[in-house]
Amino acid sequence: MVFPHDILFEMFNHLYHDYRTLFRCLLVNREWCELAVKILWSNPNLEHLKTIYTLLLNLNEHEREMIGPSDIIPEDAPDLMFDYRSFILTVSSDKLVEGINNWLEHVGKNRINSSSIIIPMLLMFLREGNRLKYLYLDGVQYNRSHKCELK
Amino acid sequence: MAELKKVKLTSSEGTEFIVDRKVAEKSVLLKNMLEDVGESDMAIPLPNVTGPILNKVIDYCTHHRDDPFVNQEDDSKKVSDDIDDWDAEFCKVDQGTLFELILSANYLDIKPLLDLTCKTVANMIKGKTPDEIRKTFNIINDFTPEEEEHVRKENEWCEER
Repeated sequence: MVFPHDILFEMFNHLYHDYRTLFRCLLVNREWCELAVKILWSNPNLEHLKTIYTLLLNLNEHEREMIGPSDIIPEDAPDLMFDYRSFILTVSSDKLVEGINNWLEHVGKNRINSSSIIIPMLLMFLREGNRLKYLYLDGVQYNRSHKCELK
Repeated sequence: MAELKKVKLTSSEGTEFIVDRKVAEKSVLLKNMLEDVGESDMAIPLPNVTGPILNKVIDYCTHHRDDPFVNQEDDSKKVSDDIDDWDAEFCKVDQGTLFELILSANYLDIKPLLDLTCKTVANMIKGKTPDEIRKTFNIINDFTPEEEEHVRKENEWCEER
């Protein structure tokens, strides 16, 4: 049974928010993966440290520089299968901060202030080629005293 | 008085179906056609739809003839468990028929039927492993083991809380 592209997409749309099922759809084959990933990542669980891990790998060179040499970004990571950040429709800063803190704790860097990571992350979401529709900012401060430099 | 008018449809095998215009108009494709053509006794050929499937589609449109037209752009809240009894019963068909219904709903542009049938397939997917999904729909896994591992790793947040 071969579902046409747009029908598959329609079907996956009905699984919006059902992360577990969408995850299993991703692993079916390439076609399912390419379609389901767009729905899955339209509103991912930003509080999860592994989401943050994947997104950190999506930072470009300039955004990585802003974070500075703090060993937060895995060095030897392989190239990603998708440009995940480009699928994201909704970002809220409090969930992002939560996720970043979870990640920092996981890598044993909880003394680093999440704000030095959230700015480059936000820039990444706002970068060209994204589908971002909703951006909720709450208490995000940009402080030039860390190594950030906005080009 | 317009809703008392009848419309003739012909399936791919040439079987003729006569339905109320109001029923036919559940299909946006037919609605637009009827508006363009105006009054006519000519049968509308539907070469992409077989008789048994057209019969099912007409059943659906007849049952739902008085439903209000739904907003097509309301994409935000789609949940797959709100299927009522009649619709659930309607979808108790073999997989081939369900598949044909999806294609016909798409072709005839009957959004609520497309939603219903897609939801039904989405529900069939729930709780299945990737391998079970492949078996159910006869899909070949064309990932290399490396790719599959990458996809798994980059998305494993889905499996955990």
